[in-house]
Amino acid sequence: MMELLFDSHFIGSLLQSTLRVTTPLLLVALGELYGERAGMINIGLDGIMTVGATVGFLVGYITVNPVLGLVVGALAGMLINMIYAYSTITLRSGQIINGMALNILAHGFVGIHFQTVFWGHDETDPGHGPKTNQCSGVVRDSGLGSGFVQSKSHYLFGICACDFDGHIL
Amino acid sequence: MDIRLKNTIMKVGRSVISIVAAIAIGAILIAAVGENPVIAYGFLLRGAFGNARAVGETLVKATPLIFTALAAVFSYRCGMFNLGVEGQFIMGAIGASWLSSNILPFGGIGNTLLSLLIGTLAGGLWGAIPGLLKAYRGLNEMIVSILMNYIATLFMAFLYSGPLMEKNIPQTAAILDDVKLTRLIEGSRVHTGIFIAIGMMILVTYFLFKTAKGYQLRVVGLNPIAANVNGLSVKRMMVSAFVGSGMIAVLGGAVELLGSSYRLMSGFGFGFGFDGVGIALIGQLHPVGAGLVAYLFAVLRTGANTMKIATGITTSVVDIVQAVIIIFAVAGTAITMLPGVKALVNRKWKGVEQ
Repeated sequence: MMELLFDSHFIGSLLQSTLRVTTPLLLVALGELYGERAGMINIGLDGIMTVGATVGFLVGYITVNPVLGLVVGALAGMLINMIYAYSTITLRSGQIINGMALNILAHGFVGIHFQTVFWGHDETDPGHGPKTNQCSGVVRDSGLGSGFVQSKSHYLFGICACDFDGHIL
Repeated sequence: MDIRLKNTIMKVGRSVISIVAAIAIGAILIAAVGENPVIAYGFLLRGAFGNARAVGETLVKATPLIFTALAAVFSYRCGMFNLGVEGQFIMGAIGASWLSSNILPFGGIGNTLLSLLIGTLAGGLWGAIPGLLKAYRGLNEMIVSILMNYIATLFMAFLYSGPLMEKNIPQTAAILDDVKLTRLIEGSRVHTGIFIAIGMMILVTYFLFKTAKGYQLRVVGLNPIAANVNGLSVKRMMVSAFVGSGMIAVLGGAVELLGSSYRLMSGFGFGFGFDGVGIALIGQLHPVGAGLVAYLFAVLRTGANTMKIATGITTSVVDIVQAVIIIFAVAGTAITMLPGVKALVNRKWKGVEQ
């Protein structure tokens, strides 16, 4: 039984799925790292990711261009984060509660998006747009973004982003 | 004008303005989706107040929100952010379910009362953990309590998929009929839990504003250094705040289980915790205000379902309205603290007084 654990096929697929799951966690952590270095605690990253994914998916679906979807998704996430930023930095209100409200806001935003764009009914029934095989989701944070493209490039992106941040910070 | 009256008017005004502004934004969103906002909001109100069943449903949804908001208010007043309300809620329900179904050999109202009581006390221990870690080790209680939410949720999942599972469906057994909290109005789901919630609201108000211990709690929240210099044990107050807040949240979970859900299953208690914290802030950290705002949120949630059935607008619009209320309330509180804005407001007040 234990020899199945060390089967090369199993280990290979384990490593591959590890890399795949690491990418979003890594990028979000890097984004939060920038914020924490500046002294801010951003709980709303979950919501920003959701918004970035939704917008990036939509743009990638419309323009059939994954890179454009990636970039626009990152920009959208950045814009939604500006609500948190203005409320926290300029108006000096609490950071945690603003982050949590942003999470709820993003949740609602996605629901509206599904209804208006994909003729669905709510977030549990996204409707029946034909699925794109180019872009399936965008992960973003307060400055970086990434796309789950069906190629190996996103692993590389994650590693490059890490290296890049290491040099900056 | 009396300064306290002025402060109260400012506080209530901030909440009211943020609620009105958020509802206006919701109207803009509804118009953007293509519906008539007035008609949509009409359906929302009808869904919340239209008939006895609707009113009852609103009260049922309000009860857990009142509990979580009170728990958040209690810990905020001591300067502690108890974001583990969701986990405490779930642990309360677990405790009540386990006690009433598996442990206590008798049924009836004794079972109900004992489950609530013991569940509350035990849940206070769960709530004390972040408090102890903050007071004696300096850990950030927000992070600890948020992560303990996950522990509680997954523990509940483990329980209803394993030891407490009933008949191969992933949920626990329903509590016995005579243990359930009695329903008040025929045809609706209102249960005596609403009385417990209102009673808790009165109790917390009395404790915070009329007792010595409550005063000490508020002092520690307002200025821990001054409290320490004056001899109050800040560490003990911090832990007590968390224990008290945990007990209120745990009671809420137990009441929700015994009155409305009757069994643990996936998704139990989802969304009550963080909304409770937001409600506490919108209600300007006053128990009665928090209770009123909790009722408003319940109105929004209940009405959203009717609005969705009647006009096809998703419940997400109400989600956005709730989030925007929270953001506006918090930002509004902060914006009136800014020096420039404060000076402007004081000038306007002077004009009003003369």
